[in-house]
Amino acid sequence: MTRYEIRVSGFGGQGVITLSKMIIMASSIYEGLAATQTEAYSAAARGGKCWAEVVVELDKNIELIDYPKALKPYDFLIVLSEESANDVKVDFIKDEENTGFLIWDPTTIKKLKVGKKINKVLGIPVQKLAVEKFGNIVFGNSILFGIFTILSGIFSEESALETIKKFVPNSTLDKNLEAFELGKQEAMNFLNKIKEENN
Amino acid sequence: MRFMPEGKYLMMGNIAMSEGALAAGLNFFGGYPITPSTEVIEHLAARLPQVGGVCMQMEDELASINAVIGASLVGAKAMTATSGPGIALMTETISMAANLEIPFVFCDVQRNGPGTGYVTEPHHNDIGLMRFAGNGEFQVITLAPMSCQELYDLTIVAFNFAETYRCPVFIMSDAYLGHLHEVVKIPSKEKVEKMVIKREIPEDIIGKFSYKDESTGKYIIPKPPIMGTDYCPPMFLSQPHSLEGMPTPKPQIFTEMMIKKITSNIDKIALTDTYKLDDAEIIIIAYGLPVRASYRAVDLARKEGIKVGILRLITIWPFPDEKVKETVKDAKVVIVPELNYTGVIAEQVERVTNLNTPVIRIPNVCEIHHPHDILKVIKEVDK
Amino acid sequence: MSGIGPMYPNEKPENPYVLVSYAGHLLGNYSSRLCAGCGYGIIGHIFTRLFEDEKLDPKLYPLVLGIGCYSQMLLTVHYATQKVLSLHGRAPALATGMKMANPQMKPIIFTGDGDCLGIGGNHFIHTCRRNLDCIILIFNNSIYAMTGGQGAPTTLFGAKSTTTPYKMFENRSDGVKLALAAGATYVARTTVAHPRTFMKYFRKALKHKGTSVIELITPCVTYFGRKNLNNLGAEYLGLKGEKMDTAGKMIDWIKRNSIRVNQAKFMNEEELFNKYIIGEFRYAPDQPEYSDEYAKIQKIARGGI
Repeated sequence: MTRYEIRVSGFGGQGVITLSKMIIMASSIYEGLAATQTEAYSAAARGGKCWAEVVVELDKNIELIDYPKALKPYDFLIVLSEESANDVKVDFIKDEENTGFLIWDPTTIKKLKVGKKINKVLGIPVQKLAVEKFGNIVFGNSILFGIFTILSGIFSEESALETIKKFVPNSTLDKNLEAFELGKQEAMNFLNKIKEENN
Repeated sequence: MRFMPEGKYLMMGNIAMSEGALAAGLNFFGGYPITPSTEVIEHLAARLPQVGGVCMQMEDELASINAVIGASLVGAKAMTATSGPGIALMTETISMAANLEIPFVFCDVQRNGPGTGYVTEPHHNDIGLMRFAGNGEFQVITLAPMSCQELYDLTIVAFNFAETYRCPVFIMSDAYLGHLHEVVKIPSKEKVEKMVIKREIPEDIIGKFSYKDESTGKYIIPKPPIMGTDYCPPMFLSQPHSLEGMPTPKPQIFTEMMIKKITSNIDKIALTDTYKLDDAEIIIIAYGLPVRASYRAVDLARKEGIKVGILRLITIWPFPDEKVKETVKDAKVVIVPELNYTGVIAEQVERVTNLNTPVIRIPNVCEIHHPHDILKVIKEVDK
Repeated sequence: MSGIGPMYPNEKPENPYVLVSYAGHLLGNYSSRLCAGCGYGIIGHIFTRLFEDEKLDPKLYPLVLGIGCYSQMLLTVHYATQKVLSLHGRAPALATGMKMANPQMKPIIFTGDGDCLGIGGNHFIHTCRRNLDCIILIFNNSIYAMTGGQGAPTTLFGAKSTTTPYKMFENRSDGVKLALAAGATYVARTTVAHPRTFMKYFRKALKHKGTSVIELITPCVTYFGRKNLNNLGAEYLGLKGEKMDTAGKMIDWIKRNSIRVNQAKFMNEEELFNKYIIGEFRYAPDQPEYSDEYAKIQKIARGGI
């Protein structure tokens, strides 16, 4: 049994819930892993502390996730708003090899207080990039999804691409795929950087 | 398109339940928005007109349940979905439905109470209400799914129970399960159609609706009558009725009839499941979400050599007395993890065992059981 | 209802419609459990007569009854009707479900003043709002008669009841005004003292597609008439000191206390105080009806438009 715990938090409307749904779709429908997703509900989903959690069971033999809530420390944490970033503490993130990532967005977060104490932290202005390069903030989702695909490695790139095709309308598919590629590149650069640092 | 194409879908619990209802032949939904059950009415408002059904947002819960009963009377497969405060309002009509023997399905997406409570927190606090809702004595059936897949599957079972036994059937969901996203495997249309019991006038007894068997003169459970056809009793009274469908001067016979129609078929109604029970000394009796944690806790405990197993109640009402008695007779101790403080089912276990076996509750309110919570208790009692 | 039995075992019914009433059909005789002087006998009889004369299909015109004295009308209505006795106040909601599950039906709802304007007020308003194709008959005897003469939302100002032992001091609820405001498309009020008018209105309602609300003023001698002999509020009721302890006197009082809508136009509020305005208030046959509109929605949902 190997649980992979993911949490995404931010403002309502930033795509927090969409991103989590993309993650669970790629891992459960296309990759065939057991997974559960829960999300902030009603008023919370519209305010500054919107969140969504995904638990993926990496063991293919297990069909039912025993505890459907994501547990701290997380394997993967994405914070997109100041309010949710302020809540983050050091012990929220797993400190293990190959896992325990924190992604934050400098577009909406001035300073991540715990940033220096966590090993694998990537600050990337996703929302700024999305607007500048693709013209709309919604493409930030695909960038983040690209980053997640590479860093987590819990599902294959094919599964990720299938998911994007399922989620986005045909008219913006090309742009979304570009955004996904951008995310992938950023993630690979980040991984190389970590490798260098370790060496 | 009533049936979704065969395949795997990512679905929210509430939606899976709605799709299950559609697959079971739902034609009428009457509801009133209440967190955490709103997705049901939202989804069905879009889906039901597509299949020629009707989804109505009524003015209040009282109206929605009455409309559901009206629709069921004229031959529609009907259901409603609500939460704790809603079911509290609906109780009067639930008892009338039981009295008139009107089949309908009731999804209770439970939330924390009393009062308004915390609307998005899971709390199995309507279990007593789902058994004793309404004035008068009657038996209902309550099913407790534990995953989105089961919300789909058991909803079909619930509709079949309602058609067969002509009584209100509850589906016990909760705020967490209702909002959980999971993969649901939808079977093929042919497979589903084979499962579903249709609402139709039985061919052999057209025009002769009767509550009694002609040859023996005893009470039978006939197929549901349909108003607007000849297959209908002379009147539907919200009073105890005799075998002829008329007001009865002997309500006791009627009450006995209403209760026995469920209890005498308990073998078919009371669905249970077991897990590693054969040599178990410690037995976990669970239903709903805590079952998931229990599976894992049992696996972990078995690794340490503790003989523990699970009796899972899929049907919680009527309570499977005999099955539980049989299962726990040699048990050292029974553990009942429940998402409520009182331990409604634990009380039932105590009743069945005559307090001879110690029953340990693991009460959790608004907080799902973690496998380690249960494992800790198992280890404690094993000492 | 164990005490059902023929009232006059050897008497042949004079009225040809008695035999098609439920009790007449079952027992061969007229039988009811209503008090002497009750107006429900008249209403039940008219309903049976219309049902027989108009040759209404019982499968398409189900009868939904609320809870009140009129529930006993089960015995006097046409034997062929398919009847549901619903819960107190919920008859319009139940009828909504029936109508929507089988849109060919046109439920006829029997409700009372306490049933429809008291406990079931919300369902009444919303059924009118939807303009659901059904007939709502409100029997207004201005008292809760079945439970023993308690004050109702419609009890006239100054009247006595067991829960208003000194006098009624609350404002009165007006079923017609409520129905008009809620959007019912055929609204009328008449009394049992005008049976021909009621038959006319009822026939019109049968042909009307939409919510028809007919309020009927009916006498309750046992609890309303007898209580309001010479009490504190008698001056508000126009009693002038006489007694209302027989059916005739109550009918007479109802006639005196009701004013035709055309006349009422020329009267001021003071003159109309505690009076029943009778007549037709609204007839809008071409308004969209709920089940028709829902059928359109179904068509859109299927991609029809």
